Amino acid sequence: MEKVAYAIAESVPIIRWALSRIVEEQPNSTVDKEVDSAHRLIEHFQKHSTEVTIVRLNEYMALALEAQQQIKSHTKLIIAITDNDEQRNHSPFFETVSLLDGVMNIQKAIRKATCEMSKHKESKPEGNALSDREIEILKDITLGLSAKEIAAKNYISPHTVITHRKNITKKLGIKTTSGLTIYAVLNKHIRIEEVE
Amino acid sequence: MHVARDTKMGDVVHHNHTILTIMLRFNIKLGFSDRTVDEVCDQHNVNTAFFLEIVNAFLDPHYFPSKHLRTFSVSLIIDYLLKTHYYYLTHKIPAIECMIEQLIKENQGESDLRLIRKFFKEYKDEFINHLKREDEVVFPYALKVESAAHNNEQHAYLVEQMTKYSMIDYLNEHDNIEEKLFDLKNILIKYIPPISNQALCIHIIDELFSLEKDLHDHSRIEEKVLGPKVMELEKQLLARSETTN
Repeated sequence: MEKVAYAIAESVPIIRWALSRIVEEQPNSTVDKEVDSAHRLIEHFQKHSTEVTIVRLNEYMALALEAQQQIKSHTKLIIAITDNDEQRNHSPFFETVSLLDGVMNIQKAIRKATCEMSKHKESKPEGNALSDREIEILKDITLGLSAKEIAAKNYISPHTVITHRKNITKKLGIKTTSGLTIYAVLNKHIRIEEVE
Repeated sequence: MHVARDTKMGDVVHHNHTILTIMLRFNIKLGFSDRTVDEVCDQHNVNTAFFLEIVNAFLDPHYFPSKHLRTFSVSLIIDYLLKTHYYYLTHKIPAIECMIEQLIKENQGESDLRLIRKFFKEYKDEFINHLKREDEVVFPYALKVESAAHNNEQHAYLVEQMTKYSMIDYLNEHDNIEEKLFDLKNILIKYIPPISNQALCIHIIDELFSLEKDLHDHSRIEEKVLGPKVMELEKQLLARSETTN
């Protein structure tokens, strides 16, 4: 399975190095980007996205709301690092860990984040994965809805529904509605009882 | 390998044993000894020239002598097509059906696999309807056209019928029954849960590939040989009817 990618924003080189080592040592986890400040992180996020971001809590809080928003929109989970015991469980952080807690807690937070991200990865087949919208359309097709009905339900044109269907068929290599139904059930997009 | 009249029948089978399924349709029985294709065909009252064309087209996907095949009579071509239908219904489809049943029986915890049985049943029903329409409507019509053309008979009703339904309609309606087969293959190859009896799955996939190839060859004879040949005879009948009138 593809590894979960981390970005680390930390100004103290030795701590950044240690965090990077800890991430790489955890299963299915890898460091995608290391930067020395939250500002650099925003620069990076102008062009890229990362699944999990580790950032110092005080640096994050010092950012303007707009900058915080930008980080949130380019990463799925944030682990905040503090250097005291007081600031815990701040939203929007997935986990907040203190440098005073020692390595074990940081390792645990990283494993938890990787595990959370892997759940999302496993829900989709590798390779020609269907997009969320295509999965919605696929479900409607297998429930026997017509292109017109699917269009009305999803606020799109019937022409777009047909394009989605063509793309689904191309990605999966399955042409018939009955074949798509088997795919949808085997991949848990719908339950067998709904189509039997 | 190009099979000729004097090729030993045993050598043909050694070259590609799947040819045995073609022999089964011609009712040619095993135990060829050292006899040639011609001798074996004679022994079983099979038209050697026709057998050779079918076998060579089966062995080489690029060899398809449609013009030459059209020199054979409609009744000979239809006889082979009917035997092929019979082979599908009595051998191919039941064999796949039986293996799918076994797959479900062995994996009762995987209840979603039931859908594969349902899917194959739908395919089988469509397939049977397709064959039935050819056996009961298309082939009898083609035989009537041939008989009328050869016996120089005046069949006003047949000419009238042609205006309502003729070979061109058959070719237009000759739908693609291979889509479901293609899907089933892909579901087994790409999406089936990891069941323990992989050998069984491989066996099913193998049968599906072989049926698909066979159907492709079969449709080719219907569309490129039978269809154009009957259309030619229809033209002759129409021309004759216009001269008489």
